Amino acid sequence: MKTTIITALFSAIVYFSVPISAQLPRFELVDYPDGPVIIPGFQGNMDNQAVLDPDVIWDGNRVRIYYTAVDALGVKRIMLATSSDLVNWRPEGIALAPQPGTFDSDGVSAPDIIYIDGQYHLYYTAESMGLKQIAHVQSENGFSFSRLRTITLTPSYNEQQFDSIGVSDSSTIYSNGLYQMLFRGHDGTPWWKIGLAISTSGTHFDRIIGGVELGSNFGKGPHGFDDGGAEDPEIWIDDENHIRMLYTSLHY
Amino acid sequence: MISGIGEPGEWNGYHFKSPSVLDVGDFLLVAYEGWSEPTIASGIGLMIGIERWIGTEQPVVLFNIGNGYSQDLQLANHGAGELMIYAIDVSNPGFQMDLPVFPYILKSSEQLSIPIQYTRTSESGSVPGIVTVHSNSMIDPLLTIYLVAY
Repeated sequence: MKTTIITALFSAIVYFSVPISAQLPRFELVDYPDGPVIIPGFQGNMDNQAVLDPDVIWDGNRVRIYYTAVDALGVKRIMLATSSDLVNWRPEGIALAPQPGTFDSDGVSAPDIIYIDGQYHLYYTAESMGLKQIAHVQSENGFSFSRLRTITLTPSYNEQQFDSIGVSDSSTIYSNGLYQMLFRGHDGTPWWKIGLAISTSGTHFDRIIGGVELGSNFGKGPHGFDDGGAEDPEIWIDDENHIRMLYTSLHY
Repeated sequence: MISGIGEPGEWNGYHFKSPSVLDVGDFLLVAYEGWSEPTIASGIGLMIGIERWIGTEQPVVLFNIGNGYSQDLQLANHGAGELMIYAIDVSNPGFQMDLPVFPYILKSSEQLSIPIQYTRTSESGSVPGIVTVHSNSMIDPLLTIYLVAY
């Protein structure tokens, strides 16, 4: 069983065409004052067990946080909160709920949202009968997603690979006609890794074999800060056109 | 690595994970999960990543009116990027500053020294003033410095 002693966030500047290099963060990160802004029960029974996996976006007027909401029965939904000042948050209800009889009937989680040409594209972890896949749905307003849901990335089903039995927790960017997605792979071991997949359609992704497999000591040697694995990637493009990533590192 | 956020016993003191970033250029807004114990996810919090930020060597500057000496305000850019300062003002007109031409670009690790003097007007006793530094950053005003003339 995985034992997490310390988890922390690690920032790397990742250039996909050259070997990965890690540099010191460009930003000084300071804790925002006054504790958590969204706590369990923020939107009543549907998130009273846990609020997890935030994904933040600016919609032109407000900051939106999409997050995994877990209720007392363990049902996972994706819910939304908004704020114009980062202090006062407004509950906006359910963005996406599990759909009975489908590939996400057992839960939807880990929202990963991007806005392209008037559409909010929501990638999320879809669970059914123990299988985790990454799915996609889109919406014009981003408050509710009721259109057709599709699977965008499945496990590799290759025993030699880090994502042989499941994929989850995506983070996606779009630039120059190319979607690039980082995701967590599951292979039945406790040492999770992060992988890379690309797409030109945004609805079907192909994994890059051997590309950006971070985790299990990507940090540094034995007893490195991520010797226990890597998960929850967050990727974005900064104003100097660098692709940057934060991820959760696990250390034993 | 970013660590040290949260102390044991705090809402995010056991661990913090699952970052999400909103990059607005001058700073990052990072949302994340905080856990207070191995089985307790306490909530979602925020961190601010500041690339361009300014500090002063003296948050409070004292003026001895009797000796007539002027003081220098020392401003330093502690961030990784450039900082555009578009105004510096003071609440009490008795304090006069020798200001640069605005907008002024303060580069990373650069310092700006601003001579300041006080000329007593009608007040008696100690006289307070507040200097406010304004920049183009969304975190505005960036800095306040307190003055006391006595």
